[in-house]
Amino acid sequence: MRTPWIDGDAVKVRLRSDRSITNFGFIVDQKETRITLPQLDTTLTTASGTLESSQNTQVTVHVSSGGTPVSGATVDILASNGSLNPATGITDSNGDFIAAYSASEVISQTAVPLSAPASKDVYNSGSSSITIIVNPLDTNLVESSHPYPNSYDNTWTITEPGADKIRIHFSRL
Amino acid sequence: MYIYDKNNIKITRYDGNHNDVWTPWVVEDTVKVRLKADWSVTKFGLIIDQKETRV
Repeated sequence: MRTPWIDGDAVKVRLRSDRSITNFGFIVDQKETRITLPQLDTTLTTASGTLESSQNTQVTVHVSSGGTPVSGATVDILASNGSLNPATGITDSNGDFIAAYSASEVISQTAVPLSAPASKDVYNSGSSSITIIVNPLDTNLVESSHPYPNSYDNTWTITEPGADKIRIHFSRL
Repeated sequence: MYIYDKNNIKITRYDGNHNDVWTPWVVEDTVKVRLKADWSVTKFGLIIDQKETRV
């Protein structure tokens, strides 16, 4: 015979008899307990949400539970495209694990989902995800019509904001 | 074909057909390319496939 589940960490058994009865009594031979583990809350952020091909960005995974940072949690960062360094680690005293994400070269704009499952003993695992946009390489920055027409006159302006000097390469002219 | 800086100062000029050509370094963050032809000439044109910058 099993008792119902009782909330909390104690159950009391009372055996009471009157003056006229005496019986065998009882034997409690087992106890069973359940512990509700605290939940790990995971937040995944990147320094930049949009990257050019082959560009890098910092990825931070913050792990907490009930609003308190959790150190020593194991974090894996998974990406469908590109690479992470390191891809696996342990959260620090602030509950953070920091890695670098390197986008691969893509030929069209690509949405790359990143996910970060985190786990630690005596906690329920948590996970978070985010999507980074990776832009394609500029295969040709500028191209005129071929051939250009008679009396053609056109000017292209190529700018890299913040540069102190710039030069360009013609594959053909 | 003419190369200018952001203030429209001419840096250099190219005539004829060329392949695999880097322009000189142009000071500041902008370079302008002007392709100008007269009524008697039509050729391939141009493809710019790379830019390089220094900060």
